[in-house]
Amino acid sequence: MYRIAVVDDLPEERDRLSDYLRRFAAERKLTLTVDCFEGGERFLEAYDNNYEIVLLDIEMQGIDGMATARRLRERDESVCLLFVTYLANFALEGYSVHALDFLVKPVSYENFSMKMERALVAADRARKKEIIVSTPEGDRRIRIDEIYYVEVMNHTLIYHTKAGVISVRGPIRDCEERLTPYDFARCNKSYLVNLNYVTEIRRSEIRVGGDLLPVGSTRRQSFMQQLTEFMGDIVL
Amino acid sequence: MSAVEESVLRILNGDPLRLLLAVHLFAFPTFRRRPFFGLKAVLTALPLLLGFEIVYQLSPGGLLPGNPLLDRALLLLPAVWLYLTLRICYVCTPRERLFSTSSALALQNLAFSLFWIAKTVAGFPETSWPALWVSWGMLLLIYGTVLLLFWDYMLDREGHTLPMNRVSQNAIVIVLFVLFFTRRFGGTSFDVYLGLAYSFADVLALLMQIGLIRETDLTLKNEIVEQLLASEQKKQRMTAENIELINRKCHDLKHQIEALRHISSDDERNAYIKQVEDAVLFYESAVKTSNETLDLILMEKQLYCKEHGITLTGVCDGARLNFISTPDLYALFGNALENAIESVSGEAAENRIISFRAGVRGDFLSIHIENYLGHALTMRDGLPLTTKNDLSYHGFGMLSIRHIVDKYGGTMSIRTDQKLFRLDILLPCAEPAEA
Repeated sequence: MYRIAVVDDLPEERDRLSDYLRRFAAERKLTLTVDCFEGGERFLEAYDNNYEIVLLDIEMQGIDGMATARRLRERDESVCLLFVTYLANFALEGYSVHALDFLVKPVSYENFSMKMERALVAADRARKKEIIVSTPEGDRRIRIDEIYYVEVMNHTLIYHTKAGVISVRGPIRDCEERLTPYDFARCNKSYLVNLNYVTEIRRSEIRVGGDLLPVGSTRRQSFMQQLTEFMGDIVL
Repeated sequence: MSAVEESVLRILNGDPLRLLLAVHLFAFPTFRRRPFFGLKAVLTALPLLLGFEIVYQLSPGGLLPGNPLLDRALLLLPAVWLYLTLRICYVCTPRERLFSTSSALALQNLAFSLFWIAKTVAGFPETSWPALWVSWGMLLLIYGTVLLLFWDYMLDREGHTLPMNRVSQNAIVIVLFVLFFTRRFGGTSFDVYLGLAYSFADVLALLMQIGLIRETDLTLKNEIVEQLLASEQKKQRMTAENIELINRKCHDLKHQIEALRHISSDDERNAYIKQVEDAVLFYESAVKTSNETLDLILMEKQLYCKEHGITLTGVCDGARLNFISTPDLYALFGNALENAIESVSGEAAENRIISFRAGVRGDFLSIHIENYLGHALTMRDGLPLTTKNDLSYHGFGMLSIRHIVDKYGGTMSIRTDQKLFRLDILLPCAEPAEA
């Protein structure tokens, strides 16, 4: 289920994008909801972290797309943003508001679907998911996006998270199976790392959420490969 | 000397140990080791070392003393075992295993022959402590020399994709030679002159292997030069087209301005002004990434793309690319975008789509370039395959990109799925990035 906002001052453009979205949803067998807005102000008024993807026209009456994007970013850093424009704009400006890409008008369906595909990947990455782990004090919910890394020590899994350290008994294999779909990768035999928090790479170490972790020589290549692909998929 | 001591001496100064050391000498610096390497190395060594000793105990004159030919053929078994040892301990291809195994056979034979000459001249028994010290001293010297000779290949084996037919030719020659021109198993029919002849032949065999490496090195360099040449030609063609395009637009513009002078009706004038505007907009495809080199590359490619109905869009902060030198940045983006343009040029008009993104997180830079790809690609060594007859597609210029990525200590990855070709590059930034 994806919620998508289309912001454009021209009704025919809104209709075109809505049609594309319906066709895209049918082809991919996805459920989408689409809300259309005829201006940046209207959209910002209605916005309450309730969309995964926003298609934003740049050349609009009233406040333009770029200004809308800047104000949107003050409130939500993670929503996936795709600009629609007449001019292909390699913009620094686009980078400054963490836009995913530009759709150049007249937008062809092929172009649209290719970029939507990417947007879905980015949107999936921004979703906030939780896992439940059983600790001696009872079950605890951990937000996956808040886990820096998982350390295994004598059959104990230690979750290093924003909210602190949580220790659970269990094998790393189970935990790996659960977390790999959410961009976790093993950097050596006892650490499962959230790629989102890798900030530094050294010869045989990486920095994750402030801590330095060793990288196994046999795992280095595949770990770097996963990190490279992850970085290419997200919106920096 | 006790029987146990003799056995120990025989193992420590024996052909199997020399063979094992030789094969690991070629493999250890060259290939990636598999998990549990130490354990696997020991477990693969034991059967060879102990097997020889057991056979010697059972039948000192060889396994089949009655049939010297078959007896020698049995010496193939250790060679097969070495091949398997490589398979178990290292990540390498069959041809690399064949190359290492045959080189190791020649090296071992050389070490043995030289030791035999020294032993005969000095006159001490083969199974004695002085013999062991002499043997190991010579072993260090010979293996050390060979290590130096093969060092380039060991550090850069990716650059040397050895041709299978030549590897197997060399291997067959060496194996046959070592089988039939070595001392008979456990036998002692060997003198100084034979030893010299064998050493000479072993040195030739090793030189043959080095020659093979040098040759592939040369082929690789030729390939790179050819690619560079072809890429220059392509660049010239694109630039020429761009100049032609600008000339044509200027010409149109001149006529449109001329026409404006003579138009009286407002509607017609507005239509003309619109046309002139469009023509000017053409240059205004705001390429402002705050990196002059990148702006230049994008400007040029954008002109080409617009004229050929290719949609090229991207988001990036060029300032973050400043740590890459101008020629490297030019080669990196130039090649990547040219590849993408070349690739989508063969697609239907509506599918000519290229998009890129470059951004920084922590202390590394991620560059992502993707384009529509309607057909499957054959990959080799993580790069798309190209041949001389097929200079289209992506393989083109990829070597150059990989070279730059390596130079900056980065990683690259190519994925082709969902009708997309995706190139990802991750480079550590030289300067610390601000938050």
